[in-house]
Parts: sequence; C-alpha cells; structure tokens
Amino acid sequence: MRTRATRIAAAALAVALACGLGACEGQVPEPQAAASNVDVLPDLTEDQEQRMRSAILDAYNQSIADLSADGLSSVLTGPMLDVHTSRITVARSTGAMDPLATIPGEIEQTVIPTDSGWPRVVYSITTTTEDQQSMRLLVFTQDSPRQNYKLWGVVRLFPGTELPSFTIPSIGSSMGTAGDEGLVATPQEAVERYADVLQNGANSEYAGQFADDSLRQYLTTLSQTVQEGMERNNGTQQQTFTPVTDTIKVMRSSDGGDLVVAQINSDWTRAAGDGRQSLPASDAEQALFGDGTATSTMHVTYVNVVALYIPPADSGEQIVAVGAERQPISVEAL
Amino acid sequence: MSGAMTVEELEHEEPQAQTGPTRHAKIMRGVVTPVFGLIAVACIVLGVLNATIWRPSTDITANAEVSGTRYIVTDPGVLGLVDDRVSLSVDGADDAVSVCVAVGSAKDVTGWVSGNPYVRVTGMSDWTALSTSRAAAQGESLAGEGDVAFADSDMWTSVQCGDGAVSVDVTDEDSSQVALVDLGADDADADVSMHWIRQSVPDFAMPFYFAGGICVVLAVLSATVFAMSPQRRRKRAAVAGAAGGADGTAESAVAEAAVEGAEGAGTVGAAAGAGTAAVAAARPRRRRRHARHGGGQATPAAESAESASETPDERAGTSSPLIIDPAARNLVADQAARSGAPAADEPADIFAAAGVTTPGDSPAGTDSADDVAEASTSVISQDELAAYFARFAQESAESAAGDGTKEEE
Repeated sequence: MRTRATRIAAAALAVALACGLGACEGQVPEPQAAASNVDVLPDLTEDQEQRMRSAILDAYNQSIADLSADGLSSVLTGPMLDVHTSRITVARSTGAMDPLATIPGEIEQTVIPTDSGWPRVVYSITTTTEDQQSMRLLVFTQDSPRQNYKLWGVVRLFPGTELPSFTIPSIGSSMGTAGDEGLVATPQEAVERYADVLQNGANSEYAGQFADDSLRQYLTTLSQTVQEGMERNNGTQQQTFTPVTDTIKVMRSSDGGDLVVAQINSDWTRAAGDGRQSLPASDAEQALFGDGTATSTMHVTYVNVVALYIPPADSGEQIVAVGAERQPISVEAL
Repeated sequence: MSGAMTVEELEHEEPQAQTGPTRHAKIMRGVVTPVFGLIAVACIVLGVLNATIWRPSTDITANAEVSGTRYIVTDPGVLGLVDDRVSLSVDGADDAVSVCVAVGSAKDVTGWVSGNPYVRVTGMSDWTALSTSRAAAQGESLAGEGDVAFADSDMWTSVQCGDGAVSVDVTDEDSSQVALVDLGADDADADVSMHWIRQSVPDFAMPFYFAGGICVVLAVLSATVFAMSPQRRRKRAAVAGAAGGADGTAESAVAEAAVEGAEGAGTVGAAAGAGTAAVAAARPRRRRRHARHGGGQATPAAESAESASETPDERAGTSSPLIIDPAARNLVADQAARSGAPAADEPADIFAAAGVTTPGDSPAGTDSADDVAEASTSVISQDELAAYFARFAQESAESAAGDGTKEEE
C-alpha cells in the first residue's frame, strides 16, 4: 500500500515536472522604461511639420486663388490673419494679389522645439520665391493641444541677412520667453526698444543698440517723403509704433541668442493743411479705403511683424532685425 | 572513495588470467551507463518537444475589456512590449460611433486628455490579457472653441478611425510612442486587443539538447574508459613494462635486505638510516600506491630500500633528469661511498639479470622514474647506506656481544 502511494506520488511529481518543463511561453514582458530623452523629443517630426505646413499653405493658396478670406481663421491667426485678410481685400480691388503674399512651398530649414506645454511655436524658413523674392520666415503656433498649428506670422527676411544657427529638427530646439535673461536685452525689451527706434529713427535713445536694417531705412525714407509733402501743405503726419508684447514668439538659437518674432502695430495719422484732403498714400491704402470720403485727416493702421535676433549679453553685438513684414489693414478718414 | 578503492583492490586481487569483465566494469556498464542513457534520452525528448509542440508561439494576442471611458491610453513601452511592431485593434460596443486610434508622443497624448478620465493599458497580466487601470489626467480640460476633431490633430504620428472598430499597425522601437483611443463617446465600452508577432521566441530546447549531449558523452565514457580498471587505463601510457617489472622486483629484494640488516645489526646507524629512508619515502607516497598493489605489502623501511636498490647505473639508463640537492650533501654517505660498497649493486644486478618480473605490474615504469627522483633527492645514496648496514651488521654479529648497549637501540 505504501509502495503504491509512493509510486503514485512519484508519477504525479514526474508529470508535474514534465508539464513545468514544457509548454512554457517564457516570462511575461514588462514595459521597458521609456528612454530618458523621450520627454525632450521634438514636438513634431519633420514629416509632421511638412504635413502641417502643407495643409496650411494649401488653404492659404486656395484663399489667394479664390480671393476669399472665408475659413482662413482655421489656418491663420495673429497678425498673419490680419495681413492676409487685408491683402485679399486689396487684391479684390486691384485685381491681383500682392506678389509679396507668395509663400514658397519648400523650406530651407525648420526649427522645432521640444517644449511640452502650450502654446507651442515652430519656425520654418522657406526658400526664395520663384521671382527671387527673399526667403520667408514662417511662424506657426499651436495654442492648445486640442487645436492645430496655425500660421501666426510671415516675415520676409532681409537680403543678405544671416540667421542664427539652430539645433537640427530631429533633436529639437528650445522655446524662449519674452523675459529671457542673459541677452543683450530681454525679448520684450528688445521689441519695445525696436518699436521706439522705428518711431523715432536715429533720434531714439535705443538706436545704437540696433544694427541698421531695411525696415528702418524704408520707414525713414517714407516718413521723410511724406513729411516733406505734408509740410508743403502745412500738414502734419505722425506714426506711432505699439508693440504687442503678449504675443512675442521666442526661439533659442544654438549660440545662446534668441530669435524673436513680434507684432508691432503702427498708427499713421496724416492731417492735411490748407483745407486739403488727406488721401491714401499707396495703392493698398487706396484699396482699403475704397469709396470712402476723404477728409483732412486720414488714419491708417499698419501691422508690422519683425524678426529680431538678440545676441547673448557677453557677445557685445547689436540686436539685428533680420526680417519684417508690413501691411496696412485699415484706412479711415477722421 | 573508499568504495572505489575497494573495487579497485578487489579487482586487483583477481587473477590476471581472468578474461571476463571486472565488477567495476559491470557496475559502470550495467548501472551507470544506462542511467546516463536514460537521462540523455529524456533530455533529447524534452528538447524535441520544446522545439515542436511545446515551442513558444510567435503570435501573441492580449485582450482587455474596457468600460465606462472615452479615452484609452497605452503606457510608454506597452506598444513595443513583445515586439516593435504591434497591431492594435479596438472594438467599440456601439458600431454607429466612430472609434479612432492615434499614435503620438506621450506628452501630446497627455495634453489631449488633459482634465479627462481615461483608462491606462499598463502592460500584460499574462500572455493573453492586457492589464488596465483607471486614471485621471491632470490639468483642466483644454477643449474649447476652434478645437479640431480627434482625427485631424497635427500631433499624431498616425491616426485611424472606423465605425465601431478600428485596427492600426504601430511601430514603436524606442518606447517613445503611445496610443490614444477615442471611443467617440463618454462612458463607452470597448474590447482592446494587441497582437504581436515575436521575431525571436525563447529557445527552451537547446538547454535540453545540451544536457542530453553531455549525458550521451558520459554514458559512452562510462561504458568505455570509466569501466576500465585504473591500472589498465594507466598501463596504456606505459611504454616499457618489462623493464619496470625488473625494477620493481629489485626494489622488493633490496628492501628485504635492508630490513634484515636493520633488524640483525640494530645499530644506531641502522635505525637512523631506516628513519631517513622512511622520511625519504614519505614524499612520493601518493604515487607509490600502485607499486604496492603490484609488489605486495612493504614497510616504509622497505619502501625506502626499494629506492635504494637503484644504482647510479640504472639511473643513468633512464631518461629522467637527475635532481641533485647540493645543500643536502651528507658527508657520512660520501665517506661510506668512498670506503667501497659493491654489495649494493649486486642484488639489483642479480635480480635484473634473473629477469624476475611481475606481469601486470603496470606502474613499474612510472615507479622507476619516481625512484630516480626519490634517490636523487635523498640525503645519502640509499644503496650505499643499505650496503653499509648489511656489512656493518655482518661485522657486528661476528664481534663480541660486548656492544650490547648499542644493539639494544
């Protein structure tokens, strides 16, 4: 009896061991801990950036083709929405879209940050246009995770301008803030000072902090020309520049500086003397003014988008405006 | 050890003329070899089974039932849990509702579900079940005006939607991607399934094959080499058995002479010489075990005398190098050598000439080498000492018994 029990036990043990030795799938795997660099992955891959940009530019180009601003708010935002809406209005009047509205589909470079929060910003620098206009700096923003990227601003880079270097998009750059320290000036200070320089020209106390650039030269020339004309009629003209400091876009370059894109609104008030009427100063203003009745005073609102490179504090360099865009968005007779 | 020794000794006592297998060989071939053979067969059978019907499956499918949620998020690393490529299928309870699966980075997914409850897929609880847990995303819901549809977000690396059910193929090589499922409605139910095809499955067969191979080798060895008596194994290496036999015979003869000399004379020199010989014999004792088997019982003194039987001529005949310790030079021995002791050579020469050998005394060849080393490293030449003792005893016997005090010692 005991022998039989022993045999049964031995047989059971053998079967158990055999079962244990066979039909094994191995140990259930555990999720591998994510690599430490997962949190600092770029917000977009280059493919995603290309898809996003193409979708936006398709809608943008369609609006040019249709000369319609309908639905543009889903792809454009910020100053770009105002600028493009104005251009469509002008184009409807003139019959042709401003060539400056052209945005090449190809890019030279994209700057994608690794920041986790929102809003997020992506810079893309296009090639030159087919008619050899200068390259565009496109600024896309994503305000919340439930929204998509939109084209916030387009800046035409000044010819011959050298942009700072950025980390390649597969590694990702870092977004800065309007209060970044360690620079010649914080981005907000730089924008405010540049607005002062645009308004006062060489008379600005900050003029020496900024290298000369095409926008300053253009505005100085324009202001002098208009001023001379107004003075002949005993009229006056004044243009005030107001930076929009809460929407400054900042991207840190690999050399420690910041590439800042900011909106600076300008209000240009021209008062004709001697009982004359103040008329629009350009075709665009004329188109925007339309059939309005001119008075002695004309108020024109411009949207300026400027791109400034702010070097590190210890570089001893000036702040450089690397590109700008300027478009009248409203003209009214006061 | 003792058992093995017993077996060896028993074999040794068996007549050399016996041709049948020894008991040792019977045990090795009748018991040990079959045991190894059975283990080898068992290992190989288990190996074959593990390589065939028990082979781990390459297709792994794990499911989870999820209820009462709109969003399902896989933890980082879950998509690549079994293999880099995974097929993720979601079957919603309501076929009329669009179900979407997006793949993106964890921070983007976290941003999308911010402020919303969701179900985490944390891994596999076993090979067929996904483990899940409920969680609530931090922050506030960022849903607002101008939001895009789930499928239209720029953030997703890929996104796919279907009515009621959807399946996507995802590649996640570095645990950087997670999947976000939008069931299309709050408090929805769904069946989530993940399917991997393992590129490499664990090989449980190879260890069995390896163990089986070892057992086969052991079985063969047990039936052949291990079944042989140690003497036979070692004799195969011996080259000159006859010379070794003569040497061994001479050893025993001289040993007897030395013992007789020591007992008969009983001088201080005899006692000291015997002691010295015993010390000299103690070092190579381990290797002399088989010599005892071949030559019969011998006292330590006799063993020392064995080595003493070797003459310088014999040593010169061997190929082994002589080891001379100049620091252990014994002037007494030198004096004895100078006084002349031809008797030491005689017994060895006589026995060698008589050709008295012991067939089967296989270690004799190696013993001669041992003796050379032993003789060369002893304090005095043993044959010279033995001859001296013999002559001294003879002289003492002839002399008067007046030296009784020395004899007593």
